[in-house]
Amino acid sequence: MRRDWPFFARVLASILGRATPAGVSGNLLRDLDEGHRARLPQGARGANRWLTRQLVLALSPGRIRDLRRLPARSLRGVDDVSALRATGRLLMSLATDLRYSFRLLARSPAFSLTTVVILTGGLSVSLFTYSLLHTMMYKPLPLPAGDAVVRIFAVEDGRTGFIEGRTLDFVRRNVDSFEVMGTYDSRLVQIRGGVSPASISATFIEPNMFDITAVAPALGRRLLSADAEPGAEPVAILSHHIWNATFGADAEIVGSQVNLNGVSTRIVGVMPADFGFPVFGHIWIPVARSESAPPAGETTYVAAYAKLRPGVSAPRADVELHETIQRYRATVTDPDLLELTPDSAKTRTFQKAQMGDEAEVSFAIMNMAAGFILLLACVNAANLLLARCLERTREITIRVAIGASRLRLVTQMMGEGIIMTAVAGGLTIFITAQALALFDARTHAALPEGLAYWWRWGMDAPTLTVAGLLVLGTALLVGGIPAWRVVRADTNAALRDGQQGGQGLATDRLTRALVVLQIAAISVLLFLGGMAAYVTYQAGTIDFGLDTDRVLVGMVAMDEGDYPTRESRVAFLERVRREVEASATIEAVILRVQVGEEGPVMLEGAVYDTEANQPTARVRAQMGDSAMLGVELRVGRRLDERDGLGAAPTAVVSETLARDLWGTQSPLGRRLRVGSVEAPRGESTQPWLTVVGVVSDIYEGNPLDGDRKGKTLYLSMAQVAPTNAGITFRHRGDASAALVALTEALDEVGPTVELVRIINFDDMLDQMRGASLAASQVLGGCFGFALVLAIGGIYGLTSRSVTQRTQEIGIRRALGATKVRIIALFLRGSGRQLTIGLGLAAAVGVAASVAVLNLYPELDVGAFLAAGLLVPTLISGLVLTATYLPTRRAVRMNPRAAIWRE
Amino acid sequence: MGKSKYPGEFEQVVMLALARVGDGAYSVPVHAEILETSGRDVAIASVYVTLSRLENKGLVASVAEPREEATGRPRRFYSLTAGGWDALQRSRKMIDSMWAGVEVPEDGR
Repeated sequence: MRRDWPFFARVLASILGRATPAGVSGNLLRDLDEGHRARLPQGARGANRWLTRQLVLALSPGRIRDLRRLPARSLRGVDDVSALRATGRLLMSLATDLRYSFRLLARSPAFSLTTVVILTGGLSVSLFTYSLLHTMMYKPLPLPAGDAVVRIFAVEDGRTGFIEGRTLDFVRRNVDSFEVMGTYDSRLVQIRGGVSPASISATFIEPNMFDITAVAPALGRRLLSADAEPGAEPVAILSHHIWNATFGADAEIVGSQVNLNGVSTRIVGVMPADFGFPVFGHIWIPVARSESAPPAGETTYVAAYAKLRPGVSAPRADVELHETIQRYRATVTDPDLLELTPDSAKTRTFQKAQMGDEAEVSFAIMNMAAGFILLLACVNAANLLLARCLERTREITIRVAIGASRLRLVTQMMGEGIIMTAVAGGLTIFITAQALALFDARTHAALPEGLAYWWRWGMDAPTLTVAGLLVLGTALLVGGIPAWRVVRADTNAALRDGQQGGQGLATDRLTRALVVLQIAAISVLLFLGGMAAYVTYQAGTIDFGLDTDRVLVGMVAMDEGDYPTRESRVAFLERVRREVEASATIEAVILRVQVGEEGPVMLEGAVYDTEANQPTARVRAQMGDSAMLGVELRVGRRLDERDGLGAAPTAVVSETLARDLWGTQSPLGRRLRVGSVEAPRGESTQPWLTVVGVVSDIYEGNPLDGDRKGKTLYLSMAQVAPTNAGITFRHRGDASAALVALTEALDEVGPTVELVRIINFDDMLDQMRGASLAASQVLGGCFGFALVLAIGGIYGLTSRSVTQRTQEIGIRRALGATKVRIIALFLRGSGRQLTIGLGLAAAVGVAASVAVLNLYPELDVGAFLAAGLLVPTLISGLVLTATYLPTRRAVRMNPRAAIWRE
Repeated sequence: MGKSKYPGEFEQVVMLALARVGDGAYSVPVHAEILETSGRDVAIASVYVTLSRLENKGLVASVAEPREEATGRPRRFYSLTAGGWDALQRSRKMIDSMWAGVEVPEDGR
């Protein structure tokens, strides 16, 4: 009977069966069944909904009271409900067990709280890490059918890269897996016409972008294929951000003209906020499809995207791409062109394209690390529960003796673990949602440009699913270990000897060893975590040694084809500097460029057998007076007009480099050159440079890099003749006027000069600092969690090992030991554990500190020493308190009570 | 008789449904009748409780008749008593006399 009732209705019916007299519920359920069956022909869903509603109504408090008062006139036909009653009994016994578990938990709030905190910490770290990485790597693009939008890469010798234009053209005509395909290019453009001139990231894209993204502009119209035709009026679409930031959210923007890199362009639309296809961008400029397929004799490599046809999987598209490219290769006869044609091509999601293939491995490792913290938390919590389970040994054995089934006992033992895991799960979801929102806000504030638009962190469906799985796994582990202990317990021994029978010497030794291990592991974790947070914090607040007040930085680049000779390039750079310096709104200007990575140098007269023995320096070329950046002259002179193209090669060294190379001797007049002794003959023909001056150090590069030591060798830009240079200038107070002047000055120099990106020097440094600070906060947060885990775990373990010895304390007291002596004895025992644990930790900590200080010599050694003292003090305090409190409690007990205590 | 002189609104609805169903009335047909005539999908449990209460008040009477199926329990069928009919008429008369001379204004206020 009622087999056709939905599960939920059957549960409600069984509750009703328990809540009301059998005759009443039997009759009512029969009537409901009749009504349900009468409705089935009109549709099972409607009938089920009706039935469930009727049951819910019957179970409402007022009605259930009335139903209970009804006279039960018939008890015949009880068979009908007996099955339901069995289910009801099971539910009731489960409810009783749960209630019992709740009571137990409420009786020891400190224990419950500690366990919940431990579990919440472990779960939160794992869930946060998962969600963070999932969003970066796997979440579909926030577009309609976002999971069908992919990028297309050429595959050459197993490596992926941009695809050659003609190959792509063939693919577009012959591949059937894609609904739409297109190409794009990202470049910076100068935009004038808004509140202030700005250098913004522009996406040159085919108008079919709208077919792929299916996102309509917030204002105006989409780009049309006619916009990309030759001779069409130049048009562009703005991002929501630029529309706000540069055009003050001007509602009349559509139809107005702006100047893009000197070209008058009509704005035809504004995209909605958070739109950034393909990666991120602030303005979309149409390009024709034909631009990706160049005329004969030219070669282009393009970034391509596509939308998979519905029902076509990425692997299937990959197979078709591969076959198509093979067919194309067979048609190519020109050996030069064949050389450019890729071996194959494949699709990849935008997320994976952004992060790189190897990211998947590192993400897996990070998730594993977070999972390990969760495992630690589980073991800690299970340990605490196990301790309680042991305390209840006699209670359990009595239950067994009077006939409780093992199953019943196991569900009782798991109850506590399950309740606490569920509470911790709820807290975890709340905390993770907050943490993700905070991370999102901070990251977007620190890097307003340059974040892929799909990186929006927050609580989402996959994260919730994983939260559910993590909570389930944790509940099984945390509840399962004590339950397993119950199943395996020797009930006879326990009944005979009480709690002692359930434990024995082996358990005691194991507990002590665990305490020692915990002490060591936690000390190391705490020290390293604290130091990692400290290092990144230091990097985030570092003094770069530069005067950055009113300083803007940018890049100028020239087309090498227009300036083929060194003379022409130097002349160009000098004109740039002169024109910019001549501007009334600009106070000073300097051109700087890094000449390669930090590399080996050699001193005149020195002999090096390998490159590893050579000193190294960061090599920079500059033109102009570095005094404007606050770089001070120590000895000799700065580089100036005397160090021109034809003059003898000269160099200036930074203080640290001078000390590194010549110690206390004067570097002036000494000679060195850039290059490795291992370089093949012919490549080591760098000229010898004569040192003419020494200047103060500046920190350069990524603040998280070990290499910021200011070992810099400055060359004259006129002697290096690079094709691009950083332009750093100080304005007289009006940044936007200075920008206009700069752009005009550069127009003056020549139309082929490209000004790339102008930002405030302070902002640039702040961004570098911001990333470090964010990293330090995340690290600090994670280790904070680990610390909470550690404190909970170590306190629980230590106090448990003392509590287990309550009987021993009673015996000692009965034999005449004083309270003080017993406490001292126990503290000495913990002291021994501490010594061993901290000794182990110190070895690892010292080695790690030495390594970190080698990497970052400017870090404060004092901070390491302070942490080296603080951590052991903290851990010692914790362990001794965890020993002292239960010992004191035990010695205060009446010895008789202590001896008989279970 | 005081309070129970006039049956309550839902009690009247159940009694009227009982009268409309006629012979063989029990909770399921009564419920169906209320739904069909008034459009109210009430709880069967309420019908059940109300029928029982009306029986206690002597307004309806029930007889238990064995069902056709061998396994079924006896089904209780309800009908209005003379007292039940009286109570219904009294309620109707009272409502009608209260309505006499009352006019609903145009705007329904």
